[in-house]
Amino acid sequence: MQAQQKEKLSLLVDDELDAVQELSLLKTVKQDLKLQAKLRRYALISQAMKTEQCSVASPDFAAKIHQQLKQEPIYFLPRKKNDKAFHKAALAVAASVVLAVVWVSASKWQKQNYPFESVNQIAQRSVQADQMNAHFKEYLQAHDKVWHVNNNTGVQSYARLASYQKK
Amino acid sequence: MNESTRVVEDLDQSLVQRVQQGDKAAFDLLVIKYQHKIVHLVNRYVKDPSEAQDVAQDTFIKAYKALADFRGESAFYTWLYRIAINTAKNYLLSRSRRHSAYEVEMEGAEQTENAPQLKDIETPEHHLMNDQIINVIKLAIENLPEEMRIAITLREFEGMSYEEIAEAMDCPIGTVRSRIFRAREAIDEKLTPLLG
Repeated sequence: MQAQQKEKLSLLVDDELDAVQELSLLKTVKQDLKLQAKLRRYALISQAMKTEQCSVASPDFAAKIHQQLKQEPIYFLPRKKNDKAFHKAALAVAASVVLAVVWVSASKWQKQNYPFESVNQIAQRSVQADQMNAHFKEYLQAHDKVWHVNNNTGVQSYARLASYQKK
Repeated sequence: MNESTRVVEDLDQSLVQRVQQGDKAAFDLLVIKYQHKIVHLVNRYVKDPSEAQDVAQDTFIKAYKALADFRGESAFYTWLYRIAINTAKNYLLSRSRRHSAYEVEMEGAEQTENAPQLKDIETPEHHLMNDQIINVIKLAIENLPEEMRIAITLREFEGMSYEEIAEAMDCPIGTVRSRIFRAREAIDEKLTPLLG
């Protein structure tokens, strides 16, 4: 047994080892009966000095627990997800779903309450149609010498003009 | 990722998480680390050394079974400490009321600390051995060189940290480590023949 290891055991009893050294030492102690016995005596000295009570675990204490635990099931917990990334992604998905739902609902609501096109849209389209009709009439007059009467109900839609030229 | 980078600052928490993920071997390390403290604690309630060992073992088994629910809101040892005390008290109550199936609840056990039925009887053999060990240790401390005796006394009797001892003794912290270690080695040398 190296003096360095024994000194580390002394530090372990006093909780003065850092986490990396402590883990390494505990693993070594687990495999080494002499180190276990040394740790046991250091713990005994420490407790006896503090409380005048000499009671430490028996040499086979950890081994007995190890044996008992062999019969116990392994307790699994779900692994923790990367919290920040997971929450951000969840938030983004939730926001997208909410937006989609709001958009669909609004469309449905608008159709239910305003099944027809707005007045402005109809008026705009009417103006365009009038302009096109005017152009069309001009064209016909210029090229076909035919009167085109648009939307004049009760009137013959086409009228051919006849002229009699005196010779 | 290598082993050392995986170790977080709080080793206990790291080991607990490993157990919770199915690594039983990590629990062995927690047992090795805390076995003596838990036996000593249980022995304050259950005076018979052999029974104290059993109750302490029961404490660790209960802790293992409950570890899935441990969320690290308190330190692992604080949590283990509470289980040990409640297990010891339940043991004494169930022993004293063996004919009834009554057992105090874990939280309820806290209120029965001073109940007379919880006083256990220390065995004469254990008492004698205890006295012998104490005498050997006292004698060994008296024979220590002064700087070692002061260092170990400040640590064990006064509960000072290494840093505080270094300040009090006006020496580097490395010297404190060395003095305390050498003091323990000297005491251990006297103690080993008695323990066999």
